[in-house]
Amino acid sequence: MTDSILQTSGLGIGYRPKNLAPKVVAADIDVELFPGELVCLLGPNGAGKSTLMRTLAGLQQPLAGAVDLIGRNLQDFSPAELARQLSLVLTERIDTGNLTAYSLVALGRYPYTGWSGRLSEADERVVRWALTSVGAKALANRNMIELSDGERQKIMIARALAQEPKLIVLDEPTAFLDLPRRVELMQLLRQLARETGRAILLSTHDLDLALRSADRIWLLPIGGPLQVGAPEDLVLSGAFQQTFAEIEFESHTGSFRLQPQPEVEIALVGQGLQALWTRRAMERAGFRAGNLSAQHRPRVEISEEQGQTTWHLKTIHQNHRCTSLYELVQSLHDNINQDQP
Amino acid sequence: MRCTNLYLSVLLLLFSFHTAQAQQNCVETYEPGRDYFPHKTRLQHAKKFSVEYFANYKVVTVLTPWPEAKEQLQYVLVQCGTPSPDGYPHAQRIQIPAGRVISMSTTQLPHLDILDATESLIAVSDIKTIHSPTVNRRFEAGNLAQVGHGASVNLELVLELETDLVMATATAQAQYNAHPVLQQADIPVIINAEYTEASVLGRAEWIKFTATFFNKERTAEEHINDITAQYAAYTALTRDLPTEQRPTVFGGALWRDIWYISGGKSYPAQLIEDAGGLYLWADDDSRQSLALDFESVYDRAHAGDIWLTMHNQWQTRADIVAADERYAGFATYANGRLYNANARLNEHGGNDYWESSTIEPHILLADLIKIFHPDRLPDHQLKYYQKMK
Amino acid sequence: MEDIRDIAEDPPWPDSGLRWGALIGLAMALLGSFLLSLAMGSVSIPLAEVIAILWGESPEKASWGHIVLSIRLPRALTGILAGAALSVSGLQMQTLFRNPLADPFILGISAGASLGVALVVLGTGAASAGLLINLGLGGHISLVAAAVGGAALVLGLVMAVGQRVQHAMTLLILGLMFGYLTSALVSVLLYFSIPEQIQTYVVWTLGSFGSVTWSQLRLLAPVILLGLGIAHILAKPLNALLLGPEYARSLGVGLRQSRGWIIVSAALLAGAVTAYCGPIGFLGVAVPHLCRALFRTSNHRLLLPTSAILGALLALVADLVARLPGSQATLPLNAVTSLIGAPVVTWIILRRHNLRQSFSA
Repeated sequence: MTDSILQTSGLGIGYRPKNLAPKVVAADIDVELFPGELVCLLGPNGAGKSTLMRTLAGLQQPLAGAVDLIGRNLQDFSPAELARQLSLVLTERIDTGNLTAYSLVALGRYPYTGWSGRLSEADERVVRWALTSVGAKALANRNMIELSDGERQKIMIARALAQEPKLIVLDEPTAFLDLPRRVELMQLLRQLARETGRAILLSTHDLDLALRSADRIWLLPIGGPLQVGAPEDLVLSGAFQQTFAEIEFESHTGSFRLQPQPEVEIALVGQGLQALWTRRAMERAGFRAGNLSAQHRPRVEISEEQGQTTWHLKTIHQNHRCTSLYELVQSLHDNINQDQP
Repeated sequence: MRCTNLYLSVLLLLFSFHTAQAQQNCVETYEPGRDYFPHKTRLQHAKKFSVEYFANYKVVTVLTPWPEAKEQLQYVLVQCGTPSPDGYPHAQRIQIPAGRVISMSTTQLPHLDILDATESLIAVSDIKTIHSPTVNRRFEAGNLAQVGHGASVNLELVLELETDLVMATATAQAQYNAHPVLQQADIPVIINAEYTEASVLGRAEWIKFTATFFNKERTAEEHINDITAQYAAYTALTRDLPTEQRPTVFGGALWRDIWYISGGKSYPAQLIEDAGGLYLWADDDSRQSLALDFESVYDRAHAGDIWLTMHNQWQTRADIVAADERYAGFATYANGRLYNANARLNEHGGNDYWESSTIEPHILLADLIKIFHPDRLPDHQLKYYQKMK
Repeated sequence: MEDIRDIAEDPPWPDSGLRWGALIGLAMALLGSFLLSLAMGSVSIPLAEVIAILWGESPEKASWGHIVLSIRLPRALTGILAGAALSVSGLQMQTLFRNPLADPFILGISAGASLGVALVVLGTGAASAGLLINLGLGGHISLVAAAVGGAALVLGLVMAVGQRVQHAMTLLILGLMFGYLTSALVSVLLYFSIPEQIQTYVVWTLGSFGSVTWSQLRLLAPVILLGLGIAHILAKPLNALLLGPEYARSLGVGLRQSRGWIIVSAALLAGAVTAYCGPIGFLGVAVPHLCRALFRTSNHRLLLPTSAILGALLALVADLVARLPGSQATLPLNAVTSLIGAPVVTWIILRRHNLRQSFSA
């Protein structure tokens, strides 16, 4: 068992408003971060994810307990020492003016360069390695202003990498990105954790991606306590459902139910991908594809006719033929009385 | 009986003396046709004001209240106790002789001194800038108020003092002038524009202007005759000097970046020429000051013989160099012929140069002759100028 | 099937060097304008004579030697020092406050220095002693100290209040308010002063390089060089501060220490210049932007020296224009710097509709 990079003991996080009692957001947090692991912090808004991230990064003071980084109390680190162990990526778009991507990543060498900030050969190598690792070598000469949000975040991650820290902390790095970029970024982070042996901690609202990519999940519900485990462990233990109790979490799909269970049951005859997506369309329309016999009426039958998928809605009295799921849903609405069981 | 008569006469005498003090020759019964101004002033040098005499009133016109002024100012001076004449719709009516007077400029104070009218002075603008010992004594005795400068004159105080007359100066910038403010409050105000005169004697002759308000024309005339004669006498001492024997002279000092040099036709320039000196900027045509930079002045004046400066704070040569070390490059610094017009400075900064020298230009001239050609005036002691030690 | 990405070549890695060519070019231009400043003035002196004088030879006319060495040379050197000081000070403030319109003048720091000067000049009481031009060396030191102190005070105040305030415009308005406040205090002082002191003070506010003599340069030059030196060392933390205080801290910047030194440097530079040359506007705000645009960079390792040199250059040009060579009249220096600087500032604001983005020139 490798030594943990970061360890908290009895950590209490929150903030101290002026002249008032400190407000505790979460207490008694005991967590560890190990090298090579990608850990995602999940939880509803207001649970204190940002506060926890900032406290672990040393930007905020803990209200109780301690945070230990490589065996030392976080408070004992000077900013320069801390910068060599831990680097940060925040959510906001920073106006970086006329810096090129290369110069921005080069800023990551701050803790290692002399007073003039000039990069040595070794420093340049690290910068180039960082840019290549995030797949942004082509962007090196471009001005930050010209880059898209996704490219910009990559550069910020490259900068965090260039600091050669043991731990990288990212506060909602995918917040402003579109889906393909989010996927790309999560893949990148997972790869970086594995290949460079660093611990990476990120907070996100992207449940789906987190469940698929993280080695461990920290689940922080409102009012605590923080629960830790592999994503699948937490699903099976019911922790997810508890944390996101307001919305129904479907354990078998790993996603959220958008509306309550439909009442009306209709038989579905079909297999494979088409059956899966037909089931979803029917549920969206308000009809449950139930466990009924293949002769039950009403039923939906999927078949191939002349190379094209067709759906047959066979009600008690009629047969309707649809060439698309859209038509099928229309047909269901027109012909099946939803009040009838 | 004789004792009573004596007693009564004495009382009457005292009484009339008192009323004379209080009402200074106000006429008791008006006699139309009588000439109330036996002595009529005539102007020898001054061209910027005129006085017209009538039986019981005078019309005084100031032709240029400030340089390049487009309007004239006119005053109808009515002998107190006589009726005011018709006509003169634009003129101010002023009762004379003036009893309670405020002077807002320092150059008129010597007028009052010479005309023996200082008792009428009830207020000044700011005692700190005044040198005159008589005025300062009045202030210390509590008989003098301060009313401030220009357009921010303390109107309430002026009204409370029951002023008969305010003597002021004016400039082309209307918003800084005191007289519109005072006129609005119906306070008689006259503008002294002596500095618009072209010659020093013309400027001095404005004592006659002030005199008309006090019926003291005779005294003023005597004074002017006297100084005109003396001035001519002094000028004669140096008129025949050839150019080689005239020392080159310049003046002014550096204020931050600008060195103000008096114009070629200004009063200082005239005095220098009349005293047998050679003004280094005599080629300039104007009476205004030139704003030059150090370089230009240095270029022309670094080898100049005599430097006449005007700076309250400088007493010694060390003071000059402490102000700016570049002054040491002037020949006058080395040869020591540095003169400052602050010889008569009182403890709170009042410099008499700005007061009495205006009405005794002959003394100024004598000072300069003493500086330029001491052999011509061996007995004269410098009054306004002092040599920098 | 070849991947399209393999066909296109990756661009070569950029050079992080200092772009010496540009720096040298700029320095040459500065040297040229320096010589021009020495050669031109109200008195016409041929260039050959000027060079001869600089070389130590005797000139044709004796007065020319004095003019070039005692009048024009200290003036030119003052212009160089002041221009460099104001530009570097402005650059530091723009980065520190993350505000493209920050400069000593706009943020009221010059006003703070003016208050310091006013207290020394006017506050030393009534008629006799205390005129600016009569101060001995001890007086000069106290003058500079008061100006630097006043500058540091306002800078610290703006910093303290600015930390609670995020919006760029608010900071500028705060600076304006501090400027008004100090001006009001100065007016009160003026009200109780004698006319000569008032005149001295008013003329001082018009700004000038010409009244600094060699003995005053002996104090001004070291102070400015010290401020510039500190700024030079601050290039690294200034670069980190471009990302904002949180990222800077995460990079290892000691925030309090860095901010402290930046304030010291900026106050020294702005205070010393204001004490001797009067409050001079627009150089501090315009020059850093011109450098950013000319060199397409936000890197302080390049911006600091180029701002210093370009600032010196523009200061000399402004002074030259103000002197109206050939004629005997002069313009106030502040008028000329405004004529140069105001269009630049307007251009900055218009080019980028969003003020915050103006940082990228």
